Amino acid sequence: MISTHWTSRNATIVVPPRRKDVVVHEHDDEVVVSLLPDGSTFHLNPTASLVWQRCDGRSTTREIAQQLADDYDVTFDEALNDVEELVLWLTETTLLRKPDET
Amino acid sequence: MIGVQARQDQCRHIAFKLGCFDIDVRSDLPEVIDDLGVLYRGCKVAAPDSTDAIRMEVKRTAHRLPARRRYVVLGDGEAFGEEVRRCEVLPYLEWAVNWRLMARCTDLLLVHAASMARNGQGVVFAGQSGAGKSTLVAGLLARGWKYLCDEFAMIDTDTLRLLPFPKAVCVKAGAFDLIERLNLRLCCDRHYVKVLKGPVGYISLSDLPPGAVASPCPVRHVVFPRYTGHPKVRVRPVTDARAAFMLTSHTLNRGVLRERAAMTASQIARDAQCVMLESGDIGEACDLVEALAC
Repeated sequence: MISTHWTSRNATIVVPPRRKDVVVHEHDDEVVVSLLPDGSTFHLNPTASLVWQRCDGRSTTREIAQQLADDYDVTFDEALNDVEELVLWLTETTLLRKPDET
Repeated sequence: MIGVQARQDQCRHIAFKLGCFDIDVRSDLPEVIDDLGVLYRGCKVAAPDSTDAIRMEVKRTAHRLPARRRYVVLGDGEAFGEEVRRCEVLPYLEWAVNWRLMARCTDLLLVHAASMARNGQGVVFAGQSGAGKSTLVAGLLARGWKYLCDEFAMIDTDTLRLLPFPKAVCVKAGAFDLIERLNLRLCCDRHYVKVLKGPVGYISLSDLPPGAVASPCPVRHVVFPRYTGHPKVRVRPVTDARAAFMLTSHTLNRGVLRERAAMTASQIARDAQCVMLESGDIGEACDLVEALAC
């Protein structure tokens, strides 16, 4: 379980993949994600959309942060903070697959 | 089941048509039928056209003391919520009609919003209670806009058109003075109370000029109003994604529509101009809406 105190600055953390039972509506660089089981809906701004779409079960938080840093002209540390917070939020809102799901 | 005593000699009946829905009401409280008859006098029918009418009942509970009597509202045979006092019955009945619509509509997106039209173009005002939707409706009605509904944006999920559901406009007591200044008439002299909102009054569409109800139309603008109490009016654009998310969040029957709610909301948001409107002055807010809709 990811706690609020973890950081991947000195570790390699592979982010969980996106859950499959969703419908994604793309609007320019933002997305609206709707969960199929109950229709719950989430709005991801451009940064969150980018992070979520990189959550493929193979990418690490550091790799995603490096892409953010390159795309948005922010420092790597700032980008890594954002990625970690977003992964935590995506996990809590169940937009990412749980470890025991296929 | 709550103890209910129906007195046949006082049970009265009215049927009327709102948009594409037939509504049939039977009530132990005669004044409810009288008031519905005034509010919807232009929509009354002798009997519902369809067997699919929304069937509402108001039944008086048994109590020795008349002052302690309460009423139960049933929709399609199911009891809705709690027992209510006499002055709460009509607003509660209207709320129960909304509840039955939410349960039945599998091909209509019901957004908690007001919807108006000008020159065949629809505007949806989506927001929580207290955002100023009904006040905006009153202000725009006074300027000759056409009415669809003050509680729903009823959107066909296939055609994406806004449909009319011309129920009487319900306004809170805080807006009574404004209604008078706008030369609109509050119908009936009876005192009504809406649970959670306090005293309310009604504007009947039958008191407006002919043609006040709009025909089905496309959604061209989505406005998210926010009453700030501040006289300065501010308009900010909202991204398609944000608008789609907010429309879905305000969809009353998304449990029934599930993923189709977000899909329909996304299509609406793509096709319409979506803005946030912050204001504390109804005149300036209406001016701004009219400028948007030009």
